[in-house]
Amino acid sequence: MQQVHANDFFTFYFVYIMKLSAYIGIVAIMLLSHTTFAQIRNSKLVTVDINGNCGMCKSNIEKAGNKENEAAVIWNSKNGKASITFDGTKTNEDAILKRIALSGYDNERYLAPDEAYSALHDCCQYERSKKTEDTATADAEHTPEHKHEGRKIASNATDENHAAHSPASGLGKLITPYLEVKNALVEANKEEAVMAAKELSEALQALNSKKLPSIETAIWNTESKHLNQTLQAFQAAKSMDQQRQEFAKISSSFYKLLKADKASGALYYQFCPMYNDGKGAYWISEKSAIENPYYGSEMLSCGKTVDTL
Amino acid sequence: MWNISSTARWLLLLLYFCVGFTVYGQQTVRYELYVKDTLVNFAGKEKRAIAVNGEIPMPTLTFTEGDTAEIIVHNLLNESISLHWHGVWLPNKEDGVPHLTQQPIAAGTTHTYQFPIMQNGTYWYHSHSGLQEQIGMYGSMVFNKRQSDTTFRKGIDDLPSVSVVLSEWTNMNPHTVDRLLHTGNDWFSIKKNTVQSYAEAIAAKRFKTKLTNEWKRMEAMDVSDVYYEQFLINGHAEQQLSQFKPGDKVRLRIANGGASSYFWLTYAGKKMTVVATDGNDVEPVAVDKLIIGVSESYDIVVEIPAANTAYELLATAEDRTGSASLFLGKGIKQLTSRLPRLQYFEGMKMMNDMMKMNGDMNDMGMDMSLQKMDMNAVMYPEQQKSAEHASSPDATDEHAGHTDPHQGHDHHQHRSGTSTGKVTLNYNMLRATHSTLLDSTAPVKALHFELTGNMNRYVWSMDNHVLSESDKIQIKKGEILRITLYNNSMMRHPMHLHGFDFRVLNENGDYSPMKNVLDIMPMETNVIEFAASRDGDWFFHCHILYHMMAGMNRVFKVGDYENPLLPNPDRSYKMLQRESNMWHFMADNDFATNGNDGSAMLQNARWSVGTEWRLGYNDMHGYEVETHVGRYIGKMQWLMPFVGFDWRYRRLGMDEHETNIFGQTNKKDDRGAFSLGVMYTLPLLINLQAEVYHDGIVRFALMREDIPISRRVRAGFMVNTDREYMVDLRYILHKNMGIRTHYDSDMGFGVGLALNY
Repeated sequence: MQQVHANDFFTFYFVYIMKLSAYIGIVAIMLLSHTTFAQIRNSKLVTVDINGNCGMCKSNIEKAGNKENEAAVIWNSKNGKASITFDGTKTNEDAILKRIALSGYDNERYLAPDEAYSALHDCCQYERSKKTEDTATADAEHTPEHKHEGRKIASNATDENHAAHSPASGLGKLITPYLEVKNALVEANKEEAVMAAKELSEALQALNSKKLPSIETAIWNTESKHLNQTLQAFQAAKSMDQQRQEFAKISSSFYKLLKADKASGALYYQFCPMYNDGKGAYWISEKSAIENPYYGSEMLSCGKTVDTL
Repeated sequence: MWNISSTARWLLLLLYFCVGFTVYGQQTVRYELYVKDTLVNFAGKEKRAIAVNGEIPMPTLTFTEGDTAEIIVHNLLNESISLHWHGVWLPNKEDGVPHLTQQPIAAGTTHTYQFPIMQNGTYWYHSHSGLQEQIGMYGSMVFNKRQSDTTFRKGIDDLPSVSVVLSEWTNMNPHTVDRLLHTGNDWFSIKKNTVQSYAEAIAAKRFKTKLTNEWKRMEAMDVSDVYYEQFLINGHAEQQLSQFKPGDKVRLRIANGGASSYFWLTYAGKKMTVVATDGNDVEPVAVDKLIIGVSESYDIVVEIPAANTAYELLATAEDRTGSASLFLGKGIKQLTSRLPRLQYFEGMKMMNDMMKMNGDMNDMGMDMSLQKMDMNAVMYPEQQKSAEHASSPDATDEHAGHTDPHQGHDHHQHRSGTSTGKVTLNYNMLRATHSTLLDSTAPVKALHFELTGNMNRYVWSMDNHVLSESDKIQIKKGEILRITLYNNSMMRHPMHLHGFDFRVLNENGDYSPMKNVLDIMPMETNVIEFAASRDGDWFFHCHILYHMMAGMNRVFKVGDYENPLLPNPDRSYKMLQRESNMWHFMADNDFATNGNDGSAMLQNARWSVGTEWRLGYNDMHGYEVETHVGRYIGKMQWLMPFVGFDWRYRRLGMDEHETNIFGQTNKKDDRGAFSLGVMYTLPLLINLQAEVYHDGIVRFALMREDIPISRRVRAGFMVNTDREYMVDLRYILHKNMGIRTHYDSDMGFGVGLALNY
């Protein structure tokens, strides 16, 4: 009797659970469909240009633009295009773009207040296309055309400066392999990075025996030793993440050497404040435009030039 | 025949044009104004407003100095109206204050105002009847300077100019706004999210601040009283003037036609140059930010710096609940930073320090005046932020202002020159373009006013007297009136004088600026003076509409003026007094499971007639009604003696009687009793009520309503010496509705819907 009872009970219980889970399932589906489909009614879709450069910008822009049941913004960091879905009865493109501009991001219709732009995280401080100033003085410095030309000249000069740095005498010989390491990291190519690091390591050994009159011996001794160690660690690294950790150290030693060398040329010392949980990391580049070796394509343009060598 | 009639028609048409349009030269310039009801949708709902010639704001009236203005007002409303020409020197009977300078313009009638234009500059006009100013009756007036004028300023007076009228909109009927303010309903704080409840205080680690605040008998602090859904520039939330080109300079003639909102002005194209205020020229001064008080006017010159860009002039309400924008230029819109939300608990802490236990303000020896020290700056997050970056001179400036007022003075007195720091305008930076010294041989009459009031009952007064308690102040014609104003209240007040400009005495001495509105911040003392050269009854009042309607007014009676429009001036003055001390009705009832709890009250600035009831659903729970007629005493109105009548009926059962804690027994189940008593507000806003009945029975009670637990939850309690007690909790759903649960020692536990009017 007792057992039968228990069985009955379990059967009942089982059926009950099944029913319940079915209900839960239905409710869940309804809820889901609600969130996915019914979120924005009367929706309109537009695509607009919004300035910005990194992953952090993406979340800032989207956060500023989004509004529950009203507007959803998806911003593409590669081309700076945002697709905005919004409820045309509740809001309009203007209101959304205004919010985004007020959070610091220039766009098609609105320019951000200067304060909002400068309050952005360093990595988000995209290149602003300046207003066409009317006064002659401002013209020279601020028009976008001029800026672009300026940059082109700088990058052209870089190539020549390779030469300027590279005469057989000294550190110049390290620059090319260093930049190869960096570029391999930018492209997220682990093997190439190791090969380039090997090359750099060999170049460093070759230098070791020679005299470097322009650098104080003390600095040379500590930094070249440090550089050597980190290069070994780099080559032994198992993952790209570890390589990048080492690369941060390599860059810092190499910068100290270059700085001590006093040789001037168009090299850019650049900084990404986000890397390593916000501790940040530096690298040396031949271009003034940011190509971040620490994140690869994820956050290619995060960073800014802090020094020119 | 045909030819002749056609000529006649042309002549008629020509005549019509002459009448309808402004005619330049020293001539009569006529405007016809048709005042009509309209429906508008400024904030999502169709609401009633008043439009003139179909426009909100009212049309801009333009004259040239020397003209004669003739303005014909057709009242097409179902209520009386008036129009006041703000800041304009004119014969008293044209001043447009109903019951003081004229009879109200009755519904369906026409009235003509006619006066010579003796000034040049930016003025404005508005209704001076009831609350019409809140719903559209405000507009700009421009008096052009003649080219031949010796004071004509090249590069300023010849710039293109645009009238800008600031205002605000609420979907609520302004009479409801007024009633909510008087009945202590905190719906506006809920809408603004400025309740400053205990829960929010604890979350912000400010519990002690909140407790001290209530200990000092203050309610939640704010910089303005009313919640507005929308702020407007020339009747729009956003307007663009795309006719201006890069490099252009534009003179903006800005008047604040808002009923109760101050506005901060900031400009995306950098500095603004202030060139005039209240119609009077001042030496140009470049600023980054300025506050325009209710009814003030400022003329500013701004430049459009670059092509293909429209620069934003942002007018942000002082309480920062919203803003309106004007874009100057064509192209992509360059925004200016929004002013972030105020940090109310910082303000509360500051108020705690500044408020004495007796409700007086204590300036801690800072000799505040002329807007030089903005105490509200403790609430501005942007200032705190820039203080962290010690590099900003503005921040250090403000901070110096707080810790060492004297140093603060020095900093602020620097005129514009500093190119690095952000400059905020204050009255000390205004300098007249010519000496404003008054005739030194004229007799001087010195007056002193203390601005007083309390938020709890929304009573605003001068020297603790509202207009209905004050006679006209007699002034001899030609006398110089030197008025010292001290603001001993917690709010700032824009004090406006009709018919005259006054000197605002500042460090510029002989060149002290002329104004007709003086914004005076809490704890400030300012001195103004003017020659009472035009006779008549001139209104002097706070221009916050709801303060004016609460009685914060005086009348200066200059000379012995016979106003042809007012055959019985004494009777008219009584009407004016009555209109500024209206009775406010409020009522509430909780329809609960255990009975009905409710009250009804009729109150004005001093008197209160109130009835409370507790009606059970059966004889044992009983029925109780208490009626009190009382008068509030003192500036803070914490004391109210009253006479009362109580009636109750209940059946407790055979020979069961209640005994109070004094051993007095009340034997009757059906009892009616007269009483004498007092109500006093204790620290923490707890009311102590003591009364003695004609049969010798004594009763004390402690009670508090509306303890702000969270943004929408209020608690209350009552305990008395009849061994009765009550606790309740209410969740506010709407300005007129809440869900209430309570426990009452007589009627037990109950849940209900609490409605209030």
